[in-house]
Amino acid sequence: MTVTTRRNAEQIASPKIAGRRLAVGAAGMAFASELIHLWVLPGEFTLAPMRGAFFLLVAMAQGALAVNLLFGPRRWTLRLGLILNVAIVATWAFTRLVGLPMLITFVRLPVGWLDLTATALEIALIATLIALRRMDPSAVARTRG
Amino acid sequence: MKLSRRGFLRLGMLGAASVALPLGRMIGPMNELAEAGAVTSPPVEPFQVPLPIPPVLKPVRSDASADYYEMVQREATAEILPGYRTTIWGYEGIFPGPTIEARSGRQVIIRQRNELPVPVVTHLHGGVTPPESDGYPTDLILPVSGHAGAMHHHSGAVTHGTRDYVYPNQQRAAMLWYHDHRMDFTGPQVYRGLAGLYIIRDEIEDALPLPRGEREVPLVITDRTFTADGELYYPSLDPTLQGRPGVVSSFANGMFGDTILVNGAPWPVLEVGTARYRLRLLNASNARPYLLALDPPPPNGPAFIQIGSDGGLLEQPIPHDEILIAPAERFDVVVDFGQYPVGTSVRLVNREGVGPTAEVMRFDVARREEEYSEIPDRLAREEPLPDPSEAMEVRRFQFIAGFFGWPSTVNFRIFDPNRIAARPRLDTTEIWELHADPEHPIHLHLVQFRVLSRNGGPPGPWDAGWKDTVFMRGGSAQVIARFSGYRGKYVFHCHNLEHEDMMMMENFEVV
Repeated sequence: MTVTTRRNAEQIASPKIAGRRLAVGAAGMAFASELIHLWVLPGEFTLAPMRGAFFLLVAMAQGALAVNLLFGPRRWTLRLGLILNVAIVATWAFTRLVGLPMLITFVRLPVGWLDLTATALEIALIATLIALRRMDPSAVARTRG
Repeated sequence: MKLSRRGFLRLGMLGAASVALPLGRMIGPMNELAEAGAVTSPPVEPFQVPLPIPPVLKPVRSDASADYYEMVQREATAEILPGYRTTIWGYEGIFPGPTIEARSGRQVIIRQRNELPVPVVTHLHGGVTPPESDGYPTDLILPVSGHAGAMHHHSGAVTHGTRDYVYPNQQRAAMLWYHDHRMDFTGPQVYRGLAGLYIIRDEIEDALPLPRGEREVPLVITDRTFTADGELYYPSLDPTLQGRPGVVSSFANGMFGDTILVNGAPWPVLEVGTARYRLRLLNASNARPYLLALDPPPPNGPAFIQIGSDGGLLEQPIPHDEILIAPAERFDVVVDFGQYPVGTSVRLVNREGVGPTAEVMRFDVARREEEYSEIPDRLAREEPLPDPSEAMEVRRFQFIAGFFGWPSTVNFRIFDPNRIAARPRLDTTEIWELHADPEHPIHLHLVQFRVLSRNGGPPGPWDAGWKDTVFMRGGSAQVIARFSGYRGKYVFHCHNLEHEDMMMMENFEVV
């Protein structure tokens, strides 16, 4: 009887642990993405204030997402995080494949290792957020303190 | 509302990660932008410093067919503003660098040694030069110290410490200039002093009774801003020039200094006699054009008689009251100071300048001098324009400046060293239709061209002769060029050096 109860408890606990680990991992990726955007922010802002402002907003949003992922994210947090990161990755891909809109045309931006790293992190974050959304909400959420 | 410890922690982390950290990171660039707009040079009384003349460099050896020079690019200090020491980067440690005097048809070989802390490239502007010596932006000379600095592009022919540049000088007499052309960093490196004159002479010019000797005066006009302690101020994103290229956004349209230097001296003065003087004007500024005039104007006749352009002597002299000279352009003019009484001070002014940038230098007519020179009605041998009907191609290039941090482009593309925008065939003629928005001095390497038209009408008043740089303030210009000399890859670009560094450049390959 005791053994069965412990097994049941482990079966219940393991999705929770997996969910927590995924959420912490996702928070780490969001925070890493924030740090990369903050790293390039001064140069981007002094070179091009509009681009710098975009980087600032991305960094702020990723920071907020990272903290929320650490503290038992709700469904809407995951949804917003997904939308945010899909938008960031889409913007990056558009500016590298099609270009930055300029008057009547587009100017393609070069690919650098830092933006490539950030994009890889954001794609991984998107996959993690999708996985978290598929999990039972109770496995992701932490008990309220 | 009661906040739990966990809620407090969450709020604190939220504030730190999404507000404090990002906004804190903004303090540096915000300060940098504010400071960049506020730098003004220490005040200097104009017309106190005598005009220096860059020394002529002697060859280290000569043989039957060539003169050999050695030049060291190094850091040095110079007293540019009276009472201040300024760190410069100079050819032979001086700014402007020493002048090279070459003869048409006689080869010059210059060994450039890089003792600076960054890679360099030397371009002979206006030279008909084989591609390996043209100073392609990625053909770097790495520092002798072995420290490479920034290596953003790896496609060039890189040498360590030194490189020999071979200039065949198979071209007519003209005043060219050499300057740094390092990919992404041309603006700051020229600004620090990497520029000098290269004068080619030939028998045709020698035979003309033009002013010579002390009455032939090169004037290298630049603008610079200095910090309070007299150092050059340039708004680089990375002042070491070893990392990120570019300037702070408020200077994206060009570095405009508040102090005008001629031959490296602020608003200098030159004593002249009552005679004609040949002034060989070069605008070596990064971005500033000048509308030059004399004040007072001569009582009779025009201020300037133009006898030459970028590519050498005109066929006939052209009178001007004003000369619009854009970055990299050269004008060869004669001024007749015999029209002024002794004791007159004649200011060379910039009618597009405001405040200190409205003055360039002053000529003091100090003595009577016998006149020996003339300006003949016929200068250079007549060279017919390339026939537009023989043009193999008509190509169209649109130069659009970046704004709000958007890159500067040619045909909406940023520079890619591996992409060729045009492949003219050797010894063929092409018409290039250049469109500029808003304002660009457009320079083609290798060739000298003629301006065929502006905005569908005739060429402008300052378009005469053979040119390698055409200045456009909006609109379009058609230029016709014969792609002779050498096969290979060359660049054409905007000579506003901040635009150039922000990728307003393209390749053409003569095939």
